[in-house]
Amino acid sequence: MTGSLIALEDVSLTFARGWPSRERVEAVAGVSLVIPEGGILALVGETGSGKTTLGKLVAGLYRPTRGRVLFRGQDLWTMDRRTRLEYRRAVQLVHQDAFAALNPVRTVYQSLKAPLRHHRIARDEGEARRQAAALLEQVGLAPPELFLDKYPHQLSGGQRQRVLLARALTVQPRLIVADEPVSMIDVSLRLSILQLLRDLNRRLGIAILYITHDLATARCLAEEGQLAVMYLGKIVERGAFREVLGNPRHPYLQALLSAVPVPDPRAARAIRPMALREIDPPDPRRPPSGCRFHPRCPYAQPICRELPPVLQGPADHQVACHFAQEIPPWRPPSAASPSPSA
Amino acid sequence: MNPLLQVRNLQVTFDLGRHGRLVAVDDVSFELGRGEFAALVGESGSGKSTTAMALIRLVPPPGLISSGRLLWWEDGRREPVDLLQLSPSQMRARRWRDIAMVFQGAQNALNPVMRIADQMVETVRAHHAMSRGEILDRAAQCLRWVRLEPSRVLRAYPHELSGGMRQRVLIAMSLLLTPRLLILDEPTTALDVITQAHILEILDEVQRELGLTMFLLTHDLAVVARTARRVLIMYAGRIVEEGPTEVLFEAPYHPYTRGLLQAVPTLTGDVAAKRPIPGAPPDLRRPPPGCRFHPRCPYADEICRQVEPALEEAGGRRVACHHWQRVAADAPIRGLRR
Repeated sequence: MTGSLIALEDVSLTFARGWPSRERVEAVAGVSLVIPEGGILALVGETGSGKTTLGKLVAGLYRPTRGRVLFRGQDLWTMDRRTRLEYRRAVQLVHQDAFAALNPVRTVYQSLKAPLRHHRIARDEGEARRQAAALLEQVGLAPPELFLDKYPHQLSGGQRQRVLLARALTVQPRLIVADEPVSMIDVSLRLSILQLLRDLNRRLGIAILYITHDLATARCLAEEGQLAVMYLGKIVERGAFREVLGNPRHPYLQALLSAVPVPDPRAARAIRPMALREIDPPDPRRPPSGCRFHPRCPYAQPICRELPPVLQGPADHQVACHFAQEIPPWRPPSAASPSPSA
Repeated sequence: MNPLLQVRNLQVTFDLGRHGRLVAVDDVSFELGRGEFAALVGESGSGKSTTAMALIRLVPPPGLISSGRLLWWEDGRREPVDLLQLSPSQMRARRWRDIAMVFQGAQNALNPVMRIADQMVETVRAHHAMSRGEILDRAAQCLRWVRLEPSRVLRAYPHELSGGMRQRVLIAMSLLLTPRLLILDEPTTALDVITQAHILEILDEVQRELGLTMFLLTHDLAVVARTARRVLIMYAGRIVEEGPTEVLFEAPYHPYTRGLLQAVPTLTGDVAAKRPIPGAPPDLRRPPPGCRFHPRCPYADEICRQVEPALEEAGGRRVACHHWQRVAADAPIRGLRR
């Protein structure tokens, strides 16, 4: 068992906005989780689940209003300057929109050179160029000479996302927080970016926090790793990816799985999304009492309105549901008429 | 199949001045039958949205429909009308009444300071002289089709509704005048998975109950599998394969269709068996010679680099590939099922 790289201890973040109302939104509500050295964690949630906020808490862009974020056991917000600098290099955030994240008037080389020189990883211009070229090869942009002097607008979406990853790699990070890195990329290129992330994890031992709304892409990257499912600021189910997906217990995860479209016409028409009491999620500014899923949950009982459930179970599979043991297991429905190639 | 709209040799070009000329839709021909659910699949830059805009003659400048015919078969008429020959005001009268479109990202384009009821009334009044009461009755009916509670939604302002509800409002609005053809551009792309599943179910229901023709544009093969009975695959401005959804998904004949099916992430099946398509879509100002897919194609050889393949009938579909026999003979794609 490797040590913990990042640990969240009962972390909450409440935003207050508007004047004079100071309307309060609890985007993350009491989340504890651990990202081990070299691990992969897929954080899956829908709009308003707080997954992006959680990613920014891990990346140190937000300070929690309650609880602590620990980097190798030290509190991010009270650590000394030296450790904080080390943390800043160790954790890199890769955004969804690679076009917005790259400076349009800088070439690829200039974008890579800045951190290399700033952190004195490259001592001179020649070394910076050699290192930049090596990084481009790492992320599959070969031969690098073809890309070093290009501007972002001259690259495809997939290539820009690779440049962003190369820039994250300049400082030899230990964790990459990738927030929806493929949702704006063409379908034909998505898989290759996911494979690249998995490859960086395997080859260089870089831990990955993959934040997404898409369980199918999460599986392509994190099947060997961990899965955490968020709903309205809370983790409702988590554990080893295969274990959780093989036996989903929380009604929300079951509903989510039943709604994932399948690229097989026969099976797709046989599948019905689980019937919820409400199709649309509630306003995250006014989260429901008790279990936050109760207004939509087909299994909800009076207790669910009153008492928030806590995560329970063995480390490789925890569920926050009062009736986790009672609700029927969910099985993927099979195709209406199986065909020979199934 | 009784045709509703026949698209013949449609070409849309963008004159980019000193940056050259771009053919976004190149010699595209297809038909939409009465009461069918068809889908057009393509990635960004494939020309699918431009094709849809051309069907309602709203291609944004500097884009121009440079050639082609759009033959519209009116109920009970023997001869079709060419939509491209209509005057702008004649065309305006047909939009929304004959052909309605739900634009990409339109759930964010509702008027923020108008109640939904007023927006729906305004839409109808642009075409018909009807009383407010009549229109609201119709609006309530359309909202119920998309599983929204009229009493609540009609009084609401857009910001009081979630993204999925706004998208359903737009679908309801597009149905107000009972169009014959409804075009939907990426109707579920920015929505949550659960909301998406319900909207796809609603579209399927509405299409069957009202018997209207739906033409759905998407990049997502799983969305197609759930809804469309017939699918057109577009790559770099051209249709490369077209046929019944089950036929194409079971045994694709075009290497691009095959590549897409192999690359799509799924919840089951072997992750290691998935293969991305190498390379990236071409710059349409300088499309590759011959077959436009050849630089990314594992089947490509000399002829593909020189001769552009024509769309031809084969195995119950149309396909534009010199080597479709080889693609067809390859092993079926594994891992698409649950």
